[in-house]
Amino acid sequence: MPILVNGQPREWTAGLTVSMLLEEMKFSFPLKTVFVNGKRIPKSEHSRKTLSDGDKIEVIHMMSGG
Amino acid sequence: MIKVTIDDKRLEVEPGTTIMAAAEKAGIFIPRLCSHELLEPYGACRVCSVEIEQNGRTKVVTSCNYPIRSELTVRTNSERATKTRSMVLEMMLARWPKVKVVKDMAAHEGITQARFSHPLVDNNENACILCGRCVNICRNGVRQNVLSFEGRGSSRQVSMPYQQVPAECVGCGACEWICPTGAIKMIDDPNGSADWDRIRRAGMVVTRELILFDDDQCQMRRKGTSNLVDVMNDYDLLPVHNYRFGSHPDAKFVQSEVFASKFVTNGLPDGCALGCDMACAHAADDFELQTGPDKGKRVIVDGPEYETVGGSTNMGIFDPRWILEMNYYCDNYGIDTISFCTLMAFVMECYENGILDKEKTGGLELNFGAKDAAMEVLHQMARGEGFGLVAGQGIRRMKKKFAEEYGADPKFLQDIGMEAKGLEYSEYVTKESLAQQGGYGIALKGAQHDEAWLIFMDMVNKQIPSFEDKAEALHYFPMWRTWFGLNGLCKLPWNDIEPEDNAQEKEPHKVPKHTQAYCDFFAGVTGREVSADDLITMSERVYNFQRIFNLKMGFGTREHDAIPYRSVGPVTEEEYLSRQDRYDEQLKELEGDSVAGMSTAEKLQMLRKHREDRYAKLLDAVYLRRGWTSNGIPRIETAKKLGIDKVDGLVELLKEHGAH
Amino acid sequence: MPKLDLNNFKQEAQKFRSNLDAIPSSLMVCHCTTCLAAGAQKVHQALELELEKRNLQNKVRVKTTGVTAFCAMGPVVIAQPSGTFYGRTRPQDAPELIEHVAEGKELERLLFKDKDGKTIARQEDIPFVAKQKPVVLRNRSVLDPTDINDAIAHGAYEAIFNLLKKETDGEAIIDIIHRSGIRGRGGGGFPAGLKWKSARKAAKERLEPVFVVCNADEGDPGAYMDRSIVEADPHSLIEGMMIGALAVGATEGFVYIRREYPLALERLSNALDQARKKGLLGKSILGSDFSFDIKIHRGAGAFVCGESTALFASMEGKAGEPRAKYVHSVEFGFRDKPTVLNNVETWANIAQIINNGPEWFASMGTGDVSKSPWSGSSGTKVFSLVGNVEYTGLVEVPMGMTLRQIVFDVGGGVEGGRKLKAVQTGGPSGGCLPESKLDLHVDFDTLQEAGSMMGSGGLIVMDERTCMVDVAKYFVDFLMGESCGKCTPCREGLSCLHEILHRITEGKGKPDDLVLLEDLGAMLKDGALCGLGQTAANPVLSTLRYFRDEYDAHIEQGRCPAGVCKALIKYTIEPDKCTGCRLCVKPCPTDCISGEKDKPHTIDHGKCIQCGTCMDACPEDAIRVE
Repeated sequence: MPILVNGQPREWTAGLTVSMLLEEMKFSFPLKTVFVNGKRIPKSEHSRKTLSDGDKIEVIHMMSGG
Repeated sequence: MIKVTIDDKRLEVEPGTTIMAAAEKAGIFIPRLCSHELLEPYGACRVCSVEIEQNGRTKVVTSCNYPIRSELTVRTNSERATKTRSMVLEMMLARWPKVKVVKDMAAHEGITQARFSHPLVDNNENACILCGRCVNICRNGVRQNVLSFEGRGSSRQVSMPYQQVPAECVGCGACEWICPTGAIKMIDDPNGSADWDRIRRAGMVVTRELILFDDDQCQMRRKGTSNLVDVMNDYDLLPVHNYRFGSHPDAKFVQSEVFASKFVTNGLPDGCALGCDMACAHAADDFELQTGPDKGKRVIVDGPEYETVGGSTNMGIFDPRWILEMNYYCDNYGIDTISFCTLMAFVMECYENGILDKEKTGGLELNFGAKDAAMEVLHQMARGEGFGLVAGQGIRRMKKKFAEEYGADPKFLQDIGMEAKGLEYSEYVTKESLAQQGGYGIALKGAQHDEAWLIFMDMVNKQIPSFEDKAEALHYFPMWRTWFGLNGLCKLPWNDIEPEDNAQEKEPHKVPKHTQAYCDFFAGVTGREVSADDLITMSERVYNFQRIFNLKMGFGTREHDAIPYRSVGPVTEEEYLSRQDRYDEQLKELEGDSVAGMSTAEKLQMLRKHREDRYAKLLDAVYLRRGWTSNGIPRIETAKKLGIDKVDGLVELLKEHGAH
Repeated sequence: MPKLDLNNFKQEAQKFRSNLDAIPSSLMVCHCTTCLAAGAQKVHQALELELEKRNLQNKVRVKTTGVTAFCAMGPVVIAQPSGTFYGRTRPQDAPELIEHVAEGKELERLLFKDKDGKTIARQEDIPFVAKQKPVVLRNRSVLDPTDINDAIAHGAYEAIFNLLKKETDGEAIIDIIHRSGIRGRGGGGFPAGLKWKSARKAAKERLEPVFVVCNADEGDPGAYMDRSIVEADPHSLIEGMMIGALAVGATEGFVYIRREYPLALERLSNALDQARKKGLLGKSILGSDFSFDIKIHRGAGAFVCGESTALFASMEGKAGEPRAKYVHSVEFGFRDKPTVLNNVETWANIAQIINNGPEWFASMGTGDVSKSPWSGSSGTKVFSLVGNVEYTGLVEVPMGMTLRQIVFDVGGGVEGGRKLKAVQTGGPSGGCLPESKLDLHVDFDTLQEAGSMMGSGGLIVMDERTCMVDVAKYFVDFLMGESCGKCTPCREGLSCLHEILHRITEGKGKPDDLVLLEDLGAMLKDGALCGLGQTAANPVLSTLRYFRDEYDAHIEQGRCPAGVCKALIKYTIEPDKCTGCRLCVKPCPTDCISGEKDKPHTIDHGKCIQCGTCMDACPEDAIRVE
């Protein structure tokens, strides 16, 4: 079962952390908040939080101005 | 992680954590005076002294600025630490016996009366105790450098240059706010606002966040808007070769760090707005020009902003020095960098396609990346000579000229000429964000993103999937952004810096805490209480009036909200193939497996039809949300609701264009 | 001036030496600040004029030199090569002096005479000089500091030449410096080798530029070691910094020097210009791929700017205030870049260490530094020996000499044969050591243990007429004026210390005051931000430690044993001795002395302000202090 990142399916590998995922996705914009299965993961925990198969991840980029 | 023991509590901290921060983590409070969450540790009052033991040696250090770098034992209440602290406070009490914060802190150490008299005793309850908080917040926090210490030793005092209030002091009140004794009082508001205090408190909301979070967020203070170059390249949104592509490996040569660390030497507020403590505009000092009338001069270049860099990559130019030079000449010629870059990108694509040649450009070879030739066109534009005379007229007129005089295909020119309503596009690739295509197309002034920048909400976050969602965003944000214009404010402090808990808000993209700060600001200035919705209504009235003004000037109908296909999808096969996986996937979702056997040309056509249909549906949805007709004209009842129907001839004009 | 390079350096140096040797006989006129103030310029001109008059330019040279051994005897002229010392010369001595020198004779009447009236001709034989060991000051009375050719003829830039010629690696240089055991002469005593190593490492790791900086912000009252080195041998400083730069990989160096040193500034700028013209500074030094240059940064005379972080702040154009040193300035120093900061004397030693080897340097001084520079104090140290001592001036002695040897053998003992009370070392934030500590070996660690410090080398001898409470008050007063005021302990603590000391010298001291002084002292030591504040209580704490009885006398008996504190003393005229000569009456500013001529006089104590003028005026020693 894949994980869902902002609604898009994505392959899951064991040991995948939030940090690793953000890097893979090239999500480099600093103003973003990560939710895993609806729970907010603070920035300080990104490198420690491992993802499980089937997790629903939302990476909300906070820019709506320009 | 490093092991620390603080008063027998053990914990682990990141290297570099201060003792004070570690103690807080352990739930141990260390008294402090000059230290404040908004300030860099200053280490001057010494009230936070503690005793540390490391490798068997002990010493007293200040906990606010002592970085923990190896295993450490800290005693906050050892005899030495307590003695140091008490003696410091006893001296302060001797000098300022009536100051509450000093009395309280001394009492906490068990001192109610100093054992000796101080030669400089000051019985004022609000005496300045020289902690330096005001000086430091003004210098490093607000970055205005208005306050400073003067005098040495016992004659040290806080002062302003020549003891006068300089123009740079805008009365932000950060010093008064942070002073622990009430020694600083603001003088009367010279602008006569209804409630100056309220304005200052609203300002402090953003000031505080800038000081605390900007370095981890957008680095607006260090890098300014150019921080976006790296981000846009990563998200395939940085225009390259006239918006054909969204990223380029050479973008690393012009990324924000290059400018911040190598060129931008002026990290101070540039006066873009007096007293703005975001101060995102930066300048490169001592820059030597290589071309043009000022060749050889060493100048200050104000910038570059994101758009100037993005515009350059759009021309295929990845040279930071060239960008600064172009930035300088645009500024000094009075030419907009965005328009110049976008029209040059168009010229270059025309040149690559044979629409232009050396004969037509007066000998200039204008392929993508031709930086010297591009710079020459800039100088020619300013002088009103040669090919500069052609390019300087902008894309809309060039399209006409190239079709009529050079026999170019007008349809192709329409597809790749990135303008709407005659204004050149700003520097974002919008192909994968329908909402943003609308943001550019419907914008009243032409193809500019400053009414609504929705790419992340739409394309990355997938927060506004339906047409209705997009229409709602294309209603709210343009209205909100109009409000900044109405009030002469900059939008950057609204959402290029965010409160720490913004993500937990119900509508985080609106940055509700900041919206509230703007309401407070408005009420503070005018004395009129307003809600966030009121602000939108204010804008809606003006926005609709502007649309009607456009209509009167011949620009206000659906046809003028059309956009070039380059901003919607791939125009050429090359473009299609460069992101083939993405487009194939999308077509597969729409049309099923039949796509597999199709040629690129067929797929290109199919994708185009789909995307153009979507854009049409988006316009319908937005017009509906805004109370406009399907031709994009405000309906009469909308005008009535907003109270602009009383304007002479307005209703007649609307009726003339079929509004009802 | 032709540029020097690695190929022609040796021949050129030889050429300069031959030029020197062509006229071996010379009169070196000391152009140090002291001698110039005493009229050295006029003596110099008179000598040149006389030389011309007699047409002896081919036999004798008149040259400028930077400093001689005896500052108190200016203007000093040294005849070379004999090294004959002529003190207190005047322009009118020129004819006689030239005549004697031309004939190879000595001018007896201007020679030095010791306490017993014995004439000593050679500077090196004067006891004050004979006991010294000049390394940094080796070129005094020999070298013309305004002429780089003269310096090169005397061996300047030989060390850097050899290092560049052999393409010596930076780490190898640091190893030599480390093994020499040299510790910073500015006061801290931190091993230079370790400092350089850290800077080099930090710069390599962070890929950042590294700076070398010379601290020439000598601010201790009465101390002028660094000034004299710059005035006398600026090239030794420049060469030292070049070696440091080569070792750590720096291309930019700075000298932070006080504006109050105009002569040193002039000599240094001149020396830098000459070195640049010679190809010894700037791009591709001596044609090698080593590039380095030195800029001068003039300080505005704040004492605290001698503290490293305040010095950097001042160099960065900010107010000269220190910051916490929990992150070492060797890693984050000037402009937050790795920075090697050493003082003038340290830099001036470097080329000698390279030339003579680390073992030579380590063989001088105390302890065995072959394992670690921390286990001893190697080399020599320059002191400015001042106060109530027979011979005052700059002395350079091996580390480890006892205070007694310095004061008595070198300095000739206490002035006027009076009793020694204390020796103050380490500048204003040093400490006062009593007679019982005179046999301490002077090195970094011993002095610290005894409650004083080496500092940059101030050494003040105090005789029995000195009140130690007054001394403490004097230094606290000085430091109070120099405290930047940033941190509470120093700003408020010094005010409070001063207030209490003032009270004691006024006879209004309270029994608890000594406890308070100690509490304040401990608080300063532990609580102050920078070195200035942390050591600011040393004068108080060390006098309390060794001279507590004097404090007690002030507080408990209202008496100043040394007879210094005006509020506690009374001048009286001994009727037996007074001859009624009235010599004391006129100078008295308050007209409080009266009596009939030729009869004993009396002082009206209601009017007397204890200025002591009468005591100085009395030829009969009839005035007494009680």
